[in-house]
Amino acid sequence: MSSTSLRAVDLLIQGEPGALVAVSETPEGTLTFRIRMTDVINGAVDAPDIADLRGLFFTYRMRLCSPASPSLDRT
Amino acid sequence: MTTYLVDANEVMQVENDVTMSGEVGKSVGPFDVGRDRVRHLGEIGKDDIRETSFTLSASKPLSLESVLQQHFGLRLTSVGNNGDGRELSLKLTGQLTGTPKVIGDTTNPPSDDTSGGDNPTPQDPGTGAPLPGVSYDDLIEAGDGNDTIYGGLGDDEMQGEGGDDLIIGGKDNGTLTWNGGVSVKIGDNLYGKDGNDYILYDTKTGYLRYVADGSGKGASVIVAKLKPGLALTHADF
Repeated sequence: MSSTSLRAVDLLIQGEPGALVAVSETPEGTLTFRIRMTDVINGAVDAPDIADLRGLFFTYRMRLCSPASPSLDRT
Repeated sequence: MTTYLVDANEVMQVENDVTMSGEVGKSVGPFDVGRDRVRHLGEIGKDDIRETSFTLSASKPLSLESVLQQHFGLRLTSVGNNGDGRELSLKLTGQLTGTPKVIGDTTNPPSDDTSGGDNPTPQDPGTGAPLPGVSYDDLIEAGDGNDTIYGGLGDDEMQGEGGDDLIIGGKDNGTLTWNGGVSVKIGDNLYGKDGNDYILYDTKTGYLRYVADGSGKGASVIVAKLKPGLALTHADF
């Protein structure tokens, strides 16, 4: 029986706040994107940096012409 | 409630206020895909989205090769810096240059059940011949259920966690050897964690006790007297 390993990769974007983008393969042949804002608290005087995540943009190696059923699930 | 735009090497804006235009966005854009999370639902600062996920599918199976080395841009609004106000906005960009890690297998999905199912058949990894430059020191967490776990080579930290577990240290320093009740050799740190603990070491008195019912609190028998205050690792015996 053949098998295929599923993989994931993370991208941490530095910023105040920053963001962690995690992309993982699924058995169904889709890619799952998880985006989470991050913030490093430096000591007692550093309050959390917060924001509203409004949009995501990305480039794509194999020019994507028609994603079949993209969906954005609020969490 | 969501909007997406796909256009090869053309996307810099989705909806009026979700844009990557400007020097930051231009440095890595234009993009191929843009997504607006939702239309604005409420007051600024009252309806934030700070974590989200979505699935991208296409007419053929997708893999990470499609996005590795590619650029990402995030548009943030209502930014409050160090707790002050919510009037700022921010554009973040980055390139996906990380090394992928294996998270599972399509035919053998990962599981924390090391028992092998209802009829466990523990597999002793044996000792074999250690390979030079390879560390055999493992952290093994058995998870829930009744498990048999082997440390194998190396000095391992093994945690039984839930269930009644049989923990076998290994065949090198992982053995627990009694020599007439006066000395003991321990290669691994053992954690019962769920109360099913048979061997207790009192760091104050140095007594090493065997608890027959495995409760950790029942009647016990002193099997050795060690020095008090020891951190029982292989290096101490």
